[in-house]
Amino acid sequence: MLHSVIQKNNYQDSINLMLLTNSINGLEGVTQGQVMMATDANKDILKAAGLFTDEVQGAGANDMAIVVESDDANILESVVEEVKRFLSNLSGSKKGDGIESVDNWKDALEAMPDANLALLSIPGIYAAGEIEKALDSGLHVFSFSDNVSLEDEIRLKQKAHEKGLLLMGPDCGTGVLSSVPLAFTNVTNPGNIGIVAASGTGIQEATTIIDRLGGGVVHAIGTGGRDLKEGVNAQTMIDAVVALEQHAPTDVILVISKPPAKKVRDNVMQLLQSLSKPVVALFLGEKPEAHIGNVSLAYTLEEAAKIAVDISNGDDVKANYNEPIDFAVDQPLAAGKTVKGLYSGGTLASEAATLISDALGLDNVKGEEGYILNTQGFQVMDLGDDVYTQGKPHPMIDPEVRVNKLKEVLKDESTGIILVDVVLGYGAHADMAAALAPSIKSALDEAQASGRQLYVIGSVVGTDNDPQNYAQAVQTLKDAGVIVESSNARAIRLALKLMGRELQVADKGRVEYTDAKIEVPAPGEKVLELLNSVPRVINIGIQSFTESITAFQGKALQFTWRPKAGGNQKLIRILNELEKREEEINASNDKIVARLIESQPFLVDARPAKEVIAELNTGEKVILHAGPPIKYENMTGPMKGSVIGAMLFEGWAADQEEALRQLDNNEVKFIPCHHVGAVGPMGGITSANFPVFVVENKTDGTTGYCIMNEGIGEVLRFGANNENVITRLKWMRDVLGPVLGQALRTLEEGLNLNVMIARAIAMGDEFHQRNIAASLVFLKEITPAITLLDIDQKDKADVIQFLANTDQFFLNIMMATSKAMVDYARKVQEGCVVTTMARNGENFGVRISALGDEWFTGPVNTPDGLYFTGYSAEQANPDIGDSAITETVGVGGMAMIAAPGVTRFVGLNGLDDAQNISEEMQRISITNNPTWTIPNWNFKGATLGIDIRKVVETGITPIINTGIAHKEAGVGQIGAGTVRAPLVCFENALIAYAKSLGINVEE
Amino acid sequence: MTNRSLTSAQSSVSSYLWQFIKQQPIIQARVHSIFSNGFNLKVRDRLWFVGKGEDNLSAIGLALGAADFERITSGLFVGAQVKLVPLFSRSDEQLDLTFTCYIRPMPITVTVYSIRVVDLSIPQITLDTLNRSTLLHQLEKAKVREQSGFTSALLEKVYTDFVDGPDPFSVASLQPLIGAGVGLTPSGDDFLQGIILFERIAGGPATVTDLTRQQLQNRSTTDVSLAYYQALFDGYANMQWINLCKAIESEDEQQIAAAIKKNQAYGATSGNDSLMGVLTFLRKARADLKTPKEADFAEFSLSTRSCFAVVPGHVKK
Repeated sequence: MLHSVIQKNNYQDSINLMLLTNSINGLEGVTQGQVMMATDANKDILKAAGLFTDEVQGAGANDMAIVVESDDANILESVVEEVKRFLSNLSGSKKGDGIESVDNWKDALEAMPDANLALLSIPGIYAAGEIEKALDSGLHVFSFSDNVSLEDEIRLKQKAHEKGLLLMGPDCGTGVLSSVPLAFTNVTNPGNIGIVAASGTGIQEATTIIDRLGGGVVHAIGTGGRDLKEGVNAQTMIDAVVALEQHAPTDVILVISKPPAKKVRDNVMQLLQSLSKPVVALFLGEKPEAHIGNVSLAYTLEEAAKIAVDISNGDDVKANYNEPIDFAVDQPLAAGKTVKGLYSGGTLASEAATLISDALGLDNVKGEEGYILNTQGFQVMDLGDDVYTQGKPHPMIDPEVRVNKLKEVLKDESTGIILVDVVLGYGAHADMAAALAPSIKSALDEAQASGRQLYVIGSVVGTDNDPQNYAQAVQTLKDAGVIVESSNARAIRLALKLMGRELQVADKGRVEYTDAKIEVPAPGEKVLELLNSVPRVINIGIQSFTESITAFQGKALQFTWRPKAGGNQKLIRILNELEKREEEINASNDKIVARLIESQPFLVDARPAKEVIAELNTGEKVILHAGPPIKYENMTGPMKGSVIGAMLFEGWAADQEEALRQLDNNEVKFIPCHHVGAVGPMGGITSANFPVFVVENKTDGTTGYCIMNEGIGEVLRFGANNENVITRLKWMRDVLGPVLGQALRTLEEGLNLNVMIARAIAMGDEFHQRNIAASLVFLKEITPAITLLDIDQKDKADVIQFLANTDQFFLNIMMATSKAMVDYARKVQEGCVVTTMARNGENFGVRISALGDEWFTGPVNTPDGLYFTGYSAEQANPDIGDSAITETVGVGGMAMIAAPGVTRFVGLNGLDDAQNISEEMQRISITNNPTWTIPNWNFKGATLGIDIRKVVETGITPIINTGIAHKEAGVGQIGAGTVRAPLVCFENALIAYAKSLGINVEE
Repeated sequence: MTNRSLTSAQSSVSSYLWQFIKQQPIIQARVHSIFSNGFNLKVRDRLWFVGKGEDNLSAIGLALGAADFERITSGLFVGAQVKLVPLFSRSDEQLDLTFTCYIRPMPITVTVYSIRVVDLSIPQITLDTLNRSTLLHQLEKAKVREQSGFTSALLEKVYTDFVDGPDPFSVASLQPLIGAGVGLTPSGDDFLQGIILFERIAGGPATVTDLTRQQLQNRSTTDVSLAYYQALFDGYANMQWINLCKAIESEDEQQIAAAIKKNQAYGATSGNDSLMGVLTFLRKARADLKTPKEADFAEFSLSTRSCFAVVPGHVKK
């Protein structure tokens, strides 16, 4: 039985997920489990593994999907607990490692302005885009990421070359720059050998042998496995080699290549022959018979390393490096026995396949996928190949794949020799030798007990300075019965000796290079700078890659990367297109935010709605509602309750039944508040005789209207419509509205709201959830005017008392203020600034500056928060109301730091959490409002101008502070909390905006 | 960029090492050992000592100005690769030398200009001159033994056996001195090197020299000691010894005292260990002078005999 849970917006890197998967699979009761980011590719993997669920189907690329198969119906409890424990440990270690962390390019480049290298380890599907960004930012790139298309590799390497930069990879597993280890790398001594290699474990094997021979490596530049293919034309290898030629500390250049395209190989050889520095070259798969000119040619990685060390010491190159195998073989294995190579390193596997094929005269037949050699019972496997590791950790970091394969090959009675490698170094398993040892020992014991001839031969790729100790790893393998040789080549040669077929390698002399030499191109200045400096690395992806850099005095900055736009390829493409028009769009957006900033909102009046909103003065039954357009039948309980209340208030119906009948007969016309210059909280229900505030934006006279706040609890805006509610509304119509209107009209200019807001924000209001300070400021400003009115004293007293009792009274003034601001800004139809956010209980609606009145909607979320006694989340109505107009202008949830106490509504606690929220909101905002500065935020202004590009790119949606209504009509408010705007509104707005700019938005 | 410090501080190279440097366009070395006043480089089967300041110019080495020395040794570690590229463009008496030290986080390159060649070949001084000098007298006053490695019980016995045992100055008594003591230049080696140096200076019989050369085939000692033995056999000594020789030749008591003091400050006990050898040589030479028929050292045992000076007028009881 499958169980799954989705953790929204929990992005973890692949290594963490693989280790987490292992951890979950170790839980009691779990038959099998998998934790993956819910990308489309991973969904396919889960489908193939029979682990696909509806929850996974609905998850996005930024969501972590946890799927387990178990007979235990409650298994998810322990699984989720384990996930929490695991990630909590991770975050603990992250906090302690002292590496500065950012999550976007802008911050990364600001935090490390002198960065010279981007180290990428992100899913391949996104790698090309990030590589390009790094190159465009003037950074060299080390791409551990693979699965970049060949076309992209060609294009990006060409771009790197043109910019004088080096693109190491894609699929560059290892590297050394200025003796600082990068990615999966061993710790080798610095020295005068410079390596350029199109293979990962090839570099590791060569560098570790060099180290153990007393030599040293200054740079080991990985090119990625396809660099010597046609099309790529060894671009990285050539750029690296010509730079090493000019790099004074490099005395010897060692080049290692996977089997190259002949034409490319010949071009590379011509370059190598033209260098002034001696070169050692190994073209895997070739068995050179002589050294040629300036290039000493090697057959194995061991030979290449030994030649390089000799030359680096100023010694002559020997004729033969094939030192005898010490292991005495009295009786070779019986005919019919075969060798099985179970490798974690691809290049080591290739070397084994080549040597075994050469010695035994086998065709180097690969056969089915995953085999480097598979013929006549002889098999060499690269267990790091995708065919073995999809959804599983690489065999360098997890023994499982190899342990299973070991059992499998033992079932083949012909198996006489098993070759294994153990790769040490940064990134590798903490003790792979010990992890493999029990299985190997068990296999050998069983073989001995059954009289079967079986040898396990291994080599350890490592140095004494690796995090795992080389000598200890060797001893662990020996204790398990493994015959350990000092190199992979020697291990293979021993296997062949046991087969009775010693590998013969003839002495090599040196012959002249007869083809023409070329003028060596000048290296890129930036490449030379890279080689002559300490690596300063922006590490994008796997955080542990920073460890080796900082441990060896390089500089590292962690870029905790998440896929842009949740990994949605269409949106990524649109964002990239918009990025090309960034300057123009930013200029448009600047006009919008400038209008918001220059707004001069004044509270000038309070009037019956019908007097200022023509649509309410037609004699028809017209009701305004919150959010984007909605039909009555689709309204949720509170809004329906409010509608009925309004009809009772207006006297259109004598009771609920009559009201419902009229509604069924479509006698009532509904219009969104936003369409008539108004806004309304919660249901937003506004009819002709509701008193409304009139806020005038004196910059150009734009007005904004909003009904008055009724207090909390049983109130119309939350759907209550009993007699008390209607009675209060009538009092507001007859007393509160007229009194406030009269008082306001006595003030020459009205009340300057910018000033009042600036005061109140400094007193701890954020103007959505908390308005007590602003309400008191309003009371302070309006009371003198009220007292001077020539009206009934009781009315004066009642009004002042009502204002004093109503902490949230200012919310509605703030909403009208915000409306007057955005409607002024909306007169410029340019850019992609959010100008409206409103909810009707069914849909969340967004409007943006360029697209005027067009709504972009998506289903609303339900708020999360605290509930009044007797109520719970189950009774909560989905998000509703126009009050998100406050967040639209940068207050409310956007300004959480101004009112940190509000965080307690959502289980957070205090200033840090509030600051984190506002900092997060800052990331989707264009600027800050200098008029509304927040003392808690070092007097930084409230955020201003939500940019839909930023929302879609980051996946960060505006957070909205809100009251929570009961989902049934007539009950009213039951709590308060926060809610997120749904991303889909912004995505749809982005697509429409791109389309309006002439961008092709289709797939 | 790789750090490239171009300096012109006073630096010097021994004429002994100069011969080797001249032969190679590029020299690849590994750091063998590091001290506060210098470090040893292993160049194939030889050791070169790079010292700080000319006072530390070794027979097998270079002496660099303090700033260059600090720059080169910053980040250096035992086993580190060092490349030296000499440039002989100025004159036969000078060279520029570029050091590339392969260290983390990146290699550093330091070019030292105008390194002077200093003749460190061991001079000849007659026994008469030696006798006329106050060297023996001053050495006996200098508390050489008390500050040497021979204060330990084990080494004291080896020493006593060599100078005062049943078979003094023999293979049997010399052999235990080779490699005896702690450190990279064991006290026994320093002691023998003091004697070998003065056998060479005096130009007389090379008894200890020959015995030592012979016994080094059978006895092991440190690479550093072996390098200094080799330099002495080839006729070269450290700058401080050459300065002592000059002081002796000058017959200036204060110069001799100063040279002794500088030698005493060399290493933990090395300087005093070597001076013990010099003292032993001089006492034997004096004994030979006084009682040539009884050319043994018994009467000069420090543990049993009182000391007296060679030079008339400076006799003290």
